[in-house]
Amino acid sequence: MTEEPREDLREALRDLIPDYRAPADPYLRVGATIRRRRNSRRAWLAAGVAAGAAAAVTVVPALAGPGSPAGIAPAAPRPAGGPPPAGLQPVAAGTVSGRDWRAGSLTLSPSASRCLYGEGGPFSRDLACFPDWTPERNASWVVLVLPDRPERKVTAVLGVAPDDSRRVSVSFGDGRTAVADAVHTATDPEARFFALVVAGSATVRGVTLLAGSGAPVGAPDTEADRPAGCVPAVDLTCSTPPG
Amino acid sequence: MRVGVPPRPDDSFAEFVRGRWGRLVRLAFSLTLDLGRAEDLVQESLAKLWAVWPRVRDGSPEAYVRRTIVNGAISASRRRWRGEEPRDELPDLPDRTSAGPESADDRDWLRRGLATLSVHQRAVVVLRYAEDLSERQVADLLGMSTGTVKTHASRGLARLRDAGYPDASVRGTRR
Repeated sequence: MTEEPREDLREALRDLIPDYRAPADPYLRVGATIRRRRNSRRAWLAAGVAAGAAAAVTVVPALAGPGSPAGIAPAAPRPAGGPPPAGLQPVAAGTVSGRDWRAGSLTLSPSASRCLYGEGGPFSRDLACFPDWTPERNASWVVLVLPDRPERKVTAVLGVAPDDSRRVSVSFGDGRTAVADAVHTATDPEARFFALVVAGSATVRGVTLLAGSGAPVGAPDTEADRPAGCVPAVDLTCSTPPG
Repeated sequence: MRVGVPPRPDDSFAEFVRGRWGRLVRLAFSLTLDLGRAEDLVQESLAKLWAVWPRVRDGSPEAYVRRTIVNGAISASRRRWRGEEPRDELPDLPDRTSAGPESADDRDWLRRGLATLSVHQRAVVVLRYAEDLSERQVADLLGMSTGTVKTHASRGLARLRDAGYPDASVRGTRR
């Protein structure tokens, strides 16, 4: 049984800085941070669109088939270098074909929320968001077939899962299965994010949520009527094109 | 598929910020032990809350921002190159007075004692005993088991005692 501290320790923990004086209006400081983050994201996306005029375009096609979400619009072209977006929370990292990649979560705007961002390796600063996902639903995900090396492709699965899952098991159409951690981040306290990359071009047959024990949480999710992912536009709105 | 942008946060967000700022900074300070970093952390966390305000406003916005602050403090401690390693050796300190728990000496001892805890031990101690969260709530917030929460709490309190924070054996008349 855990020892309980005395009340004076509790009080002292709550009052470590008794002489603290808040700013006259803390909302002004928070508002400045909101504007800074918004302007930073818009500048980042705008730079990507501008650079895309002369640079190669990263197209993010969706895969047809069961378990795949609705069509995803081609991603806005993004610059090859530059810092990651502000507020990026680490979700996963790995190596494919000898190249390191990483994925993180962030919210870009009220409509472009619960986003996953991938860079390094086969990723070209790809984004996919899940603004319509709710904690009551199962997982939602997007499948990206990305060019890896000449005449080689890899398949990335980026998604969001409910809080009671700890890992996700992705079943591919070619019989392979891959497992990824479902990670809590500061992006959304009610969601867990996952990302994985496998070699080759593959369809996703289903995604099974796993508890901490490894036991499945519910049946594998193969239905296509979950909230789909979307790719945010330059104005940070996010919607899936009619498909 | 939903299309469009939700309504912008209304004045209720500003009211929330003004009303909670001090308490949230105190929470962040107890985790970071640095007032500047604490204020920055609260600013960033409230900015993230703004992005989801229409969705959480009628639920538990305080729980949301508290989780954001705690996760932000833990992430920041991992990123800093110096890290936060529990130290067995404490800096030399003058003898403490036997004044009440509100004395500056006791708070200084407590701050130093907290600095000897790992970031997870400190988070558990603060959330359990300053924020009065249950073991289950702390476990859910930090993404760990209740057993781990108990372990961190026990070890954290033990480290605070080792650091010299007043305990029952010193103040025999108090319980």
